[in-house]
Amino acid sequence: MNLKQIAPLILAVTLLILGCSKSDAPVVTTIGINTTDQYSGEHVRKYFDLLCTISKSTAGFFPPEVSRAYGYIGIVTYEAVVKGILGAQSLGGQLNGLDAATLPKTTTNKKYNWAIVSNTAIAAMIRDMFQGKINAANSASVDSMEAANLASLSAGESTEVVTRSVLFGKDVSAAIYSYSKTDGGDQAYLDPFQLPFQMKTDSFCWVPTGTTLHPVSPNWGNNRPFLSANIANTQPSDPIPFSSMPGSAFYNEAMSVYNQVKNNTLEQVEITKYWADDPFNTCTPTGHTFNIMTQLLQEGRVTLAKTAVAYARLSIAENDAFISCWKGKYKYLLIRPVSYIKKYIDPSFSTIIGTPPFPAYTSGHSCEMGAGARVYTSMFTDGSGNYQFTDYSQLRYGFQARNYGNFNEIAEECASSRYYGGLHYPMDNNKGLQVGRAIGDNVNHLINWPLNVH
Amino acid sequence: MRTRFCIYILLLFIFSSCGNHEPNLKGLAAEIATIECRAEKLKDHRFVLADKMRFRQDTILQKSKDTMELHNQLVEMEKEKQLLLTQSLHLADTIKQKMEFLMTNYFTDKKRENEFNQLLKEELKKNDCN
Repeated sequence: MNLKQIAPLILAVTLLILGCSKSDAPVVTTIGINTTDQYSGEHVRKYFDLLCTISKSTAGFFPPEVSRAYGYIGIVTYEAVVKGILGAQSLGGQLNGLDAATLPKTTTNKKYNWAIVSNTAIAAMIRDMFQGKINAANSASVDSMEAANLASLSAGESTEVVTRSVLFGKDVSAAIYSYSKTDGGDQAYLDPFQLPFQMKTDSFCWVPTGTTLHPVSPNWGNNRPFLSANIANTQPSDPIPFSSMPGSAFYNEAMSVYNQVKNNTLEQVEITKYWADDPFNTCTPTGHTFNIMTQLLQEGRVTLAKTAVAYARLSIAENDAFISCWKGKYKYLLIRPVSYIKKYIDPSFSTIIGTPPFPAYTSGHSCEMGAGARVYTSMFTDGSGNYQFTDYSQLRYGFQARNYGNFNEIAEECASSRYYGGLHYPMDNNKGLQVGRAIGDNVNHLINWPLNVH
Repeated sequence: MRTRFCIYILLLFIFSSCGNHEPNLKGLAAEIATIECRAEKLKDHRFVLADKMRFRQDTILQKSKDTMELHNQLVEMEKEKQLLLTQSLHLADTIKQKMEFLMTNYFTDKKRENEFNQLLKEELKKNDCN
């Protein structure tokens, strides 16, 4: 057989190898040129997936506490890799109270493997955020994920670069953890009810809606936000004045909830449960919103650079949405629809799912998803929000996937779910969405984010 | 001439085996539908149990009945809840892995994703899961 005879075979086999290779192969480091966009974000997505498991199985993690944990882990993800993103600016000096001088510096002209830096920083931050209550299984999961990632990410890398990257990751995590300790929420999961707290006893005030007799995290609204504007410029206007008088505007709000619950379609009941996640086992609304982000990043097959920017934006938005929302909740202390309806309309009234233990105005789901949808829109669309999206994040828990054509549809449905369920008045959702959207817009516009990350 | 013929046959074989690396979408949808159906039943069971627990807790709070019996029922329900959770989370891991495989290897564009969603819907209907 001469060369002429086997040439077609060589050509075909070469084409075959190229053609059969996956288009979404992980991005790998190119020695000598190490920007963040040359790495895959897969290991970061895995951590955020694990974070949902840890959040739902660690005692004391109610929605505000979960949003804070995700918040700082998102910040550390970005700060770990920011020096490898072309044209990017650190959050030091941009976030409330984060002094740029407290953040570690890289050594000039030395190579860092940004995937390894982020791997170390995220694992350390998860341990710090959950340290007081994390169970053995979750702790082992963090350890094994960190070790497995390190092994795979170190392939072809010199020991010197690996060591330098690991140390830098640890330093970044320590700096951000130190920053987190002064925000007012440090280890709040050890005391989520922040007792002693005395709820007022006026007719308009929240009363227990189940076995949890104290409302969750009454002082959360005093925590330091990442962006001051997220509290100063987003507080809702006063709710409709309380009244038990039939025909009053407030009574009509409650009546509207009552009629909705009585006349829900099967689809509306399913939507209620879908956004409540699970009666026993949820990583809270923030977890669901991050799960959607993780799917978006996976679908987009994006690099570590875009992964870090996206999680950081969402982290700031979610953390601040809960602070702002909780500030309003404990300013107005508004009674939940179930308590009002049972007292003034129908004592036998029952909601579709249990009502969570904190005041009504405004809705936490609406605030956080209003903010989240703005971040999705900014990261994945031309500003219109149009995106054909199928949410598979709940499929694993027995919910069928849901389809959306615009990120705003997701926010609207999430907010409406609380009305269908009988948990919120319409005004809680409308104002909550407004609060959340304002926060999302602040996060997108008040921080100098790198452009053109892919 | 005979060598060239053999090469072309070999090429044909290689190309056809490359095509076989594509996942059998219908089979995968059927497989996922079967476990998803179980997951849906477990989910329904969790929500029903949560309701039962909620109503008993409400009754205890109102102290309108003999609460000892209700307390005992709640203890039993708590055991049932733990069992349900273990089963549900185990199944959730399996579904998650299968979806990860699909999303990484098959969902390269929206058309393929929609194709899968349609097949999954049909399979779930076939399994009487809607």
